[in-house]
Amino acid sequence: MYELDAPFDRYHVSGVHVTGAMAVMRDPMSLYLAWRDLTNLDRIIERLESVEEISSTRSKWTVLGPANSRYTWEADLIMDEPGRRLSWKTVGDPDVASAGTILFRELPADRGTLVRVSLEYAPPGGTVGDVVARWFGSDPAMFIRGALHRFRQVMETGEVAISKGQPVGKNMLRSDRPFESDARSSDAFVRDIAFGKETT
Amino acid sequence: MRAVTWHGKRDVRVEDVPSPQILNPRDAIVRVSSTAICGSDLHLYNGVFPAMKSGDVLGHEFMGEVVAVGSAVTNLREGDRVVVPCVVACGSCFFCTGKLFSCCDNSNPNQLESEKLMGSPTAGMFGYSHLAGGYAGGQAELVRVPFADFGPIKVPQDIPDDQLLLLSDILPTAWMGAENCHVRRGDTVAVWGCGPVGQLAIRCLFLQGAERVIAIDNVPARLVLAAAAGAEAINFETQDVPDLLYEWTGGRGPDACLDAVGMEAHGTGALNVVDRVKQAVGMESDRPSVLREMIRCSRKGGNISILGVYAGNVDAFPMGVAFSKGLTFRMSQVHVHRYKTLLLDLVLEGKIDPSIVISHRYGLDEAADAYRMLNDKADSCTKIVLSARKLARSPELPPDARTVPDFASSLVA
Repeated sequence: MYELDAPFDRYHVSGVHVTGAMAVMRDPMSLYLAWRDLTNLDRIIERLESVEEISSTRSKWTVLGPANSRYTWEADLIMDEPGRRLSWKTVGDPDVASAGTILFRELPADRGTLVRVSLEYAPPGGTVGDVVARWFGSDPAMFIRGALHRFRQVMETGEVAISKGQPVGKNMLRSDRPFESDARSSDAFVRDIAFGKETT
Repeated sequence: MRAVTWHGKRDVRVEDVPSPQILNPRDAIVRVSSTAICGSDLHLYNGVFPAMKSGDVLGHEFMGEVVAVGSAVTNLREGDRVVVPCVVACGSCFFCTGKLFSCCDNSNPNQLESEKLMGSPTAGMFGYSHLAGGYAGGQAELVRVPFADFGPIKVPQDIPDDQLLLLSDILPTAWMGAENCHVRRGDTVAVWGCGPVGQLAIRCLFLQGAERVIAIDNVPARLVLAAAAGAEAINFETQDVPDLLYEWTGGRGPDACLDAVGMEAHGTGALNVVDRVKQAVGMESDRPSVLREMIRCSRKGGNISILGVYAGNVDAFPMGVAFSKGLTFRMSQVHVHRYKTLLLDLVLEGKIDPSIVISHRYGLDEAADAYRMLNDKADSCTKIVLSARKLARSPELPPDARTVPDFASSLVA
């Protein structure tokens, strides 16, 4: 059947475990293929700068931290069931050990696909800890939910809805004046999507 | 370009703002010919609606000419004349597929914020707060229209703006509210509020087969306009609404009750005074006196159709009465896209003329006066249309407005 509420496999990365779910009006294989092309993910995941595919199963991830700092790690695809499932785990002994799974299950009667995500990570201290904390924000579950919302928007409509960068009247207090650069807030991320990324 | 901007309670200005740009492949830019001030804009004007930011461009009812389209818009071209639905909808999510366009999953850029408040994100709307996505509104010379390949209603060139403009919001709102009354042969429907939406709802109810429509308001001119459509009028300031409805229906009550007033109901009596105080100090966001009266007056098993905008919480909701009388409540922000063809045809066939509710015309530059006037209902004002054509200059699109940024469209190949 649908295995809608089967428990996720755990990879015993000690620390934080968060999950998310989103129903999307596309078939499981299209969604799987979009996610399997890891280079797409920087459009979906906040403050993820890039994912490079090193081999068919190994990839290099780079996230942006405070003051243009960057943190990178490598991850292996450890489960790949086309149209159903992807699982990954960090390679070796990185500063932030993490592992995760994304599942795609067709819903009945043309109701699309249920996408479920599980993410485990061991929050580090120090500078790397700051980068990771900034990346996930105060609530890792909301971080995942935001990414899933954007994934659904892109897969259902071809774009991420945006209202930043539109006309506004005079107000010096506003933080969302169009075209103004600021710290890499989520607003800046959305602008990146709309205007294309700056290469720095 | 010139645009009408919100700066706080009863502070609406007309100022120069940057012209819009195409930001996504499915965007278009429309040069506005006519735009209306909606009764629901008064909730923003009076500062009772949340999540507004100083500088926001107002307006959600507008029409005009397409002047630029994004790379994914193939059904519109420059020069097309369009009426733009006030609700932004993607056309392909679960809810759009189910014709619940104002519940669109994807059109609200502020997904998480909307979800936190509502449980799930509701659709974006033009010029109607950041809760509805923060889209710059239509009381401007130029407007960016997202999902333009799905939303705008192409209209013929030879019909006046006045007859078409209200297809963007209040005509479909009125039609949907009438539909939610589930009118059957012989039905009596009572309509609270005879502003523009109420007026059109009265006409839609007759078109949908209502036997009797009873119109309730306190502005004599509005009651006269309602009577002209064949409705029987009650002035709630001088007459007792529940008593008259009881008498006129032989104690049975109206088969359906329609709320075309919403969260700023005038109301009478002690409970309304309590509501006003609570609303003023932020304890209660909405004043539901109409809702309470409808529940009291409706016949048992009747339909309660709610169009008036509600934004937050109401107190002293007579749930026990509603339950005991077996009432059915139907409400929503208007699903404009559902009625695009149906209502355009009705207008073109002359079966309904929405322009009857238009009472005043101003230039866009006179918007501040127009808002004040509508709010005071000076001169028994009903509907105000702002013309963007009266402006001396014509705004230019920035040179790069037509350039669509590189985007993730490869994902949905």
